[in-house]
Amino acid sequence: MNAIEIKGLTKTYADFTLSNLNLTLPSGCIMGLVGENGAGKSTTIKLILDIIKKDSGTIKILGKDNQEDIKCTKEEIGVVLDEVGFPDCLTAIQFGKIMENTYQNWDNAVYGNLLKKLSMPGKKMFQEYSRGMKMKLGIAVALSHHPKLLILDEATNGLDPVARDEVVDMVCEFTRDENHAVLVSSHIVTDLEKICDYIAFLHRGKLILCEEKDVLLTEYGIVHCTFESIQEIAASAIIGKRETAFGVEAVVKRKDIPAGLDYSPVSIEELFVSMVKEVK
Amino acid sequence: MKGLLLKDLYMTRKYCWMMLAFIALFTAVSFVDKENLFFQFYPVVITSILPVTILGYDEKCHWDVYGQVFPYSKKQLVSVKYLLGLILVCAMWLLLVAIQFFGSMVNQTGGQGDWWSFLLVVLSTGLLASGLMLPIIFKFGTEKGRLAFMVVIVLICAGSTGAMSLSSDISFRLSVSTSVFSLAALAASSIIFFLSWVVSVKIYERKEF
Repeated sequence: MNAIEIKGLTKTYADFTLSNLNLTLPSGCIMGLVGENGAGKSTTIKLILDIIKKDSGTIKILGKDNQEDIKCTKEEIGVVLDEVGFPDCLTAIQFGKIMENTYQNWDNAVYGNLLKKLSMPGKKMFQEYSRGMKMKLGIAVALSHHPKLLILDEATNGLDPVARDEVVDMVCEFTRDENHAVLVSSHIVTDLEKICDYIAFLHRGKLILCEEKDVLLTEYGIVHCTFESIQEIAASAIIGKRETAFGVEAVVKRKDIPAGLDYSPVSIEELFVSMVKEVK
Repeated sequence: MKGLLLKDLYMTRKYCWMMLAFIALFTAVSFVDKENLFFQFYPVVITSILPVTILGYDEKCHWDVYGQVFPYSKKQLVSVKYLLGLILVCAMWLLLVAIQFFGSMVNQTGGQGDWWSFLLVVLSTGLLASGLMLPIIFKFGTEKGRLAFMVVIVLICAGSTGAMSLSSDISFRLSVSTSVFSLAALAASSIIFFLSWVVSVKIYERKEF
């Protein structure tokens, strides 16, 4: 079963359109939604959760259309948005009591263990937490009702490297169960590269690529060559290029470059930036 | 919806304790100064706007969006504010009833028709205040809805005290007792409160976040 299945999703605003989005996240996988600010990542997530209304298309979550009893479906989803919007005056213990009366499957033992593991003070008010602590509390809440799907929207933004690493570890731990899936959006591509099985590139409301990460890393490479050598490569094989005083650096499709031409592995970030520049 | 109500009650206790203390003080003063209707109306009207205050805090901390990731319908997210308003207004009204009852026992004036009529008008005012303000705040948010909010408060305070002083006259002209007048006021404000909830749910379901 697919954790998320999106077909022909469209949402139009006065100054932005998310157009004809098709995306499938299989169960047991982590998908990274990559895109610059304003690319449509948060809009996509809000549409999945039915926080905003779509213009057209279908969205299935865990096999169920999100227009059919989304309230029930949300029992099986854990969500962390870029702003963990808990009231400032409440404490982690109070959030636990609120959530105990919110989720049918809320597990106080799991929540307590996560708070302990993350060294979260139970009686400290939310407003006194650092951004990293707020995010970690958001994730603890999102994981304590045994969800099957975890959705993280820019959850690592603004965190220091240690906190980011802890968040990444929690996500990896969650996906040890093969029935669990994660959709994580971020513009910090290096985080996604560490954990994702699938990468989807969004640019100005359009999906420009959705592929398995390993396929991307084996299919594309970077060529460092002279101005003359680049002419030998077919234009269709070049995803993007950067000219410097010393030569050309080009992201290329490995199978389409002349034999014998050296290339080095490409990072997801380099690939994304090249593709976006090419689209521009 | 229990979780949502618990959250709002925690917030009311934390953010509004000072307001609640003032309300209790005014209620106590109303026991001493029975002639001044302000001390009797004010606590209930202020209590009725506490859900609006909580909505303001929700907006500030982005709960208006974040709350929607949890297994609650938009209808429930709206309904909890009405439920909170109803609980707080009724609790405050019962406190007022208890104080007035105690006062009337002391002065041996309790149980008169006007006494109950007055208390029913106070309750109606509380329901009316919540009912008129919440749809405005759900539609425009606390920032934009502030002006409308102030206008409603002034109108309600002026209207209630005016209605109270005119009730005897109106009742006389319509040849009905003040009790009937007060019951009609309560019925009307209850209907407005219910319609307000229906309108707020519609507004919230169509709102883009």
